[in-house]
Amino acid sequence: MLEIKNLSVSIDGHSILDNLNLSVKPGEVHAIMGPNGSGKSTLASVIAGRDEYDVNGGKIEYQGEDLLDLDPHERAHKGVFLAFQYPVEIPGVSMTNFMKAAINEKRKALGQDPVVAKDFLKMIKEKMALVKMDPKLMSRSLNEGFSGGEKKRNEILQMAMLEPKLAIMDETDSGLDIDALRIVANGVNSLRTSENAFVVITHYQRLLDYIVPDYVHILYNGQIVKSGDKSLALELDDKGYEWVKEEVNA
Amino acid sequence: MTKDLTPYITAFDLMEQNMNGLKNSSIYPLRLKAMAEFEKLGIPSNRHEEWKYIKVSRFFKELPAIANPTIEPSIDLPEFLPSLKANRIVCIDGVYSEKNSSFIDEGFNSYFRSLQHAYNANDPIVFNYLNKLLKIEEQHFAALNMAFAQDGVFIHLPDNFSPDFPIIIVNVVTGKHLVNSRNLVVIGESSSAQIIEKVISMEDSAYHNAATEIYLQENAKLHHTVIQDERKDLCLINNTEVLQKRDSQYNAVTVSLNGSLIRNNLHVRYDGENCDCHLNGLYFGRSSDLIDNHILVDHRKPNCTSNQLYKGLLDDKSEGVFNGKIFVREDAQKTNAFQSNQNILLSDNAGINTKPQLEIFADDVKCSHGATSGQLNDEALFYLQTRGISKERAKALVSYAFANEIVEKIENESVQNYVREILLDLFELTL
Repeated sequence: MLEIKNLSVSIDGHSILDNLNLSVKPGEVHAIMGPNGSGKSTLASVIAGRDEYDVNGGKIEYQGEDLLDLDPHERAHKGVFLAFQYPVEIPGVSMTNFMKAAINEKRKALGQDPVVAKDFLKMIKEKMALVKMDPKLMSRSLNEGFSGGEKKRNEILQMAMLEPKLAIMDETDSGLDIDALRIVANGVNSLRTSENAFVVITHYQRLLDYIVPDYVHILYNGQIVKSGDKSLALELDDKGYEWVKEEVNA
Repeated sequence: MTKDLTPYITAFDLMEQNMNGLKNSSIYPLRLKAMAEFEKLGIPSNRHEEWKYIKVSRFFKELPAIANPTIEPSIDLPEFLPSLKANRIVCIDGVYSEKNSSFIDEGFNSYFRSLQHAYNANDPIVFNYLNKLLKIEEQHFAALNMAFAQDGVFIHLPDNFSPDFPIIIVNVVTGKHLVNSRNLVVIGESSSAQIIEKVISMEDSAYHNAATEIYLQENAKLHHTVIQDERKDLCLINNTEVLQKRDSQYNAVTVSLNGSLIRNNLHVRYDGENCDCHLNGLYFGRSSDLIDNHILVDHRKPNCTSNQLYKGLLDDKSEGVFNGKIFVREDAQKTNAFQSNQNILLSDNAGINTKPQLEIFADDVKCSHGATSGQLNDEALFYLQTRGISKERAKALVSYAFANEIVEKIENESVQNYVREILLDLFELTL
């Protein structure tokens, strides 16, 4: 589904990703871990299409198509989703209008008619229950004044509404207490199918108790330096990143 | 360079000759004085501090002909919010059109007269109020208006009378000429009203110079909405002066969405304690539009509050000006005065000149002001894009939301929806 080959990315002349390779198949959950500044969020942003990064080499293939050729909204239409580490507050744009616009833009791109109001309401009610979000938030402005936990749950709500094929979750666990973490993880787990894939970026093993990965990768200095199964995450939790750094630098 | 005013002097002389009976009315010396002042002031140039950023002289290279409103034109008037139940006052080229006006509030017709009617009757009440707030010695276009406006709207609500329905004042400009329209509004003690003003132009290259004086007596309340949305090449100059007595409230929303040149002078003065005003504005400039809002709130008495919120979207090569003055006089202790001007520049070639001006002579006051101008937030646009909304639509959505904050301040829901539809259309959005 996702093939990243020799990807090198820089911003303002500083190299961030350096010959990175990653392969994700449908139905899989990949966790990407790594110390601060290793390039995790950059990888997420580049897959979603943020344009302030310079791609200096390599390619990202998604369902056989060159992802780097597409605008961010086109990637979204094809099923790529990024759950933000810091969801943006957008005053004045109501949750309802935003969600409807997002769904209808995708439907339009797929040659479908706009969603019927009744179906939309039913769907949103269902998905809000899934992430235990207060329905009153729908009449509020997008993320404006939402608590940290509400913002993260809102990301999962949007994911549930848009039904992506490839979801990148950028430190969705940061700033969540254990209850919110469980709700978010439950939301993700209920969306897992054999057709879609998740790339979960996290600092901590904690999240991976709830969202169990098939693969764990360690990102360091812009490269994936070690891959393994979920036991690698436990090892990291136990020993920290120092031994990885030493191994790489040796 | 002083503009040659000969065409206006000739026009004024001609008007005078045709006035016959009116020479006995108190309006006559007022007009003579106004014309004399206008001859001194002329059309303002950029060297004038108050006209520095708006090249009004560009629109007056050739003086536009003064509309000759003696001929009642037989035209089909475009309708404005036909479904809204309201007391409708229509003026064509500055002259009240009884034929096109209609009142639904019982008793409202006792409280409305055309100014010409009042002048002819030499009604002393009208002269208690007329031209007392506008300063023809200083304000170029107020002087021009006083000299030439032949008619207009005189609303005088008695004490304790609040019409059930809004009052719509439509000013129609029929040709490529300059119309001087005039409103005089007195809201009696403990009365309240809603006034919606709208200019309709039948032609491009038309000029409208409005002068409005509003008096709010004790505990009176007025919601005042001004809609400037004709998508034509127009020059609109709007001079509004408000005087508030104690416990009164004035809420204004000015929406400027049409082309070329708009200059709004909105001045509010407090003449009693415990007054409050909310002055809101939305402007959206495109192509080479110039939109200038000059606001003044004059706190002369203690325990009053005022709020100014003006928001601007500027695209293409358009330019905006915001000049917001707050005076707090020595006696005006316990004043709360706030001002905010926020701008989004949608193009690299658009510009905004924003200038807050606070002059505070009392010591126990709370005043704040803030001005922002910038591009749309990239982070917000990217967020929307990752949800499948194209950059263009994301921009439109965020701009619309920015503008909608002001639309929500409009008292009347039908008018809110009217403005929203225009905005959605301009942004090519459907919600």
